[in-house]
Amino acid sequence: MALAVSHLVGGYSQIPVLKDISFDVQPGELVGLIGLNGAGKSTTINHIIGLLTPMKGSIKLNGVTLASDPQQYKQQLAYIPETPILYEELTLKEHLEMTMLAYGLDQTAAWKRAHELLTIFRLDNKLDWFPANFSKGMKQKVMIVCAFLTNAKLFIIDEPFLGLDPLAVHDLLHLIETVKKQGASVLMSTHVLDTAEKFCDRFVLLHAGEIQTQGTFDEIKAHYPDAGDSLNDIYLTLTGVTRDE
Amino acid sequence: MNELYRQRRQRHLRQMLHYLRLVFNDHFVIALMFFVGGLGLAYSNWLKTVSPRDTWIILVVGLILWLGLAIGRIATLLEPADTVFLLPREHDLHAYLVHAWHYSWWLAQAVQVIVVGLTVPILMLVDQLSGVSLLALLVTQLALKDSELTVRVTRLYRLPQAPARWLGMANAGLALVILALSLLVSPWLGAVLALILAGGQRWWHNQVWPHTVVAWQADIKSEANRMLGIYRFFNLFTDVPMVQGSVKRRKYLDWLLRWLPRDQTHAFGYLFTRGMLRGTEFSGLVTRLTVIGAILLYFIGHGWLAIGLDVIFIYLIGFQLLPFYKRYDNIVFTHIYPLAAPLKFKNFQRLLTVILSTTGIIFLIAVWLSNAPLAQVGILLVVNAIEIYLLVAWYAKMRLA
Repeated sequence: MALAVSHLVGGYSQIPVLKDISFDVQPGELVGLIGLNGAGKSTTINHIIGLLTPMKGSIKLNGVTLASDPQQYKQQLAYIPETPILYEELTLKEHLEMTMLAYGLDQTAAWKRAHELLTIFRLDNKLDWFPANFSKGMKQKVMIVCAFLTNAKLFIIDEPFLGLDPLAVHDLLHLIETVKKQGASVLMSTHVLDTAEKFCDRFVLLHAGEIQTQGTFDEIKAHYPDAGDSLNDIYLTLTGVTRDE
Repeated sequence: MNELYRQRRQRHLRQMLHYLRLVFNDHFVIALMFFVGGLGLAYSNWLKTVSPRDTWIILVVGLILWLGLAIGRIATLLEPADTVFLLPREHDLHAYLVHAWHYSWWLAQAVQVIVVGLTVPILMLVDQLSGVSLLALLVTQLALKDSELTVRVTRLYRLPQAPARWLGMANAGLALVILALSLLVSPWLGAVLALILAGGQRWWHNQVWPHTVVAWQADIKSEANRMLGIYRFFNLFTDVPMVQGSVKRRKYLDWLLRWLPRDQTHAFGYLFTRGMLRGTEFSGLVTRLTVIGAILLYFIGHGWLAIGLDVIFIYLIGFQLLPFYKRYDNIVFTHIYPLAAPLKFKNFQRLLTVILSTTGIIFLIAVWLSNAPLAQVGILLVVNAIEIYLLVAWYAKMRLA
């Protein structure tokens, strides 16, 4: 079991946003974290990457918690934020080097990998530029390259599809496919449900800080036979947000 | 409109006061006392070397007075939204601008009095000017500044192309001529001419403004520039949210980075050094204070004053660099890198040591160049080493770790 979240209660202040959440992500699996704005997706992610401390429950990455061995825990984790976050003073090349240094990667091997990724995302001629001045989509590509540079066992990807061009979305999905084959796990939050439906192995549906349901698409569909045929329909039915038409 | 300017001026003054309180904190007042004292000492020492035969100094004084006229602008306090909200009341805006004019007039003239006051010792020494002549010179300077400010107000309006281009230059040219006459021929002649110029500009202003429109875009832009200048000044001493440090590539500094170790334990050092060299905010602070300090030390050089100054400048740089430690805290990755917690602080201490040592060495060189006895350079070396050690190992740790 790569990521195991069990009975997590947490949030930003005294009032918990997440109420007793349990799910896991197996090696080689892509799990979609689905929910409306404010459902608790980002809070869940912030707990997993260690920005927030659980009030109750535990988060284990291959048996390690953040408290028991922070370095070992963080070493296994790569994160792609929803809004690209860049160092204003570093060039693209230096962003990659910074990542290599921070994760203690072997420079030669890492640069080989970096050049592959840069070529895929057509950034290979921009090494000496400041990514802070890039467009949103290009900034997001920098985030993707930095994350996939690491040998992480768990990739956390927060809403990757908005802002990327269709070619980049395709390349990202391909990349996810590759790391899955190498045994890594991916947890991805998204609102783009039809893409999620096609590519995710399992889903965790969050609503108002609780897990509404989880499982493969077929499991969920079998469980709620009347809810509709697409993830979109099922999700809207389950959250009770059915509008009069 | 009267009420509007009053409100804005009050808000403006409150804001300035807020920043002034931050600027004139305890440390700064001490440094400022040394600074002014040092400058005063240098000035009086220099005056001793001036002989009454050095008449060329009169020309320098004239030039200083003339350049001094440029100090002081009109604080219109116009805001970008005014183009939308005040546009319908454009004619009434003159009353608003007159208020701005009066407020700016007193400030600007106070500065002129100081400028003239500073040149008085030279003039008395070289030109043997009498008290009454000095008064005439003061009247000249104030009247010239008055004309200059009137020009600035007139230019808030959209003028025909020719006057728009020549008005400022013509007035400055006339001011130069009048100052020359005043210093070389007769102060009274200068005063009379300056008063005529000031009256003429005011007359012309009243002729022009009712028949033209306010140059909104230009006025708002120049007001924004004026405020930016003020904020930049405050930003030398404290954090001003309106001034964002910018980033420059500075490729010519890359050779400095080659010396640094590159491994996992120095990842934060990698980030800190690049941020320090390329961001303008902190590197500007270090450079400015180092240059000012070195110049002061070069002129003062000897004795306890120099040692005190040296200690204060290194402290000023050191404690103002501390916020840089948190520069990247809002970047989530700095929290999720698999790096041991103490590494960040260790890397920062290293950077602080390098910067302060460089400044310390530059100060030592400045003192040495000023022909101070070698023993004093030695004392300073020891003092600097102790101070930097205390700042980095103890003070920074207490404040940050």
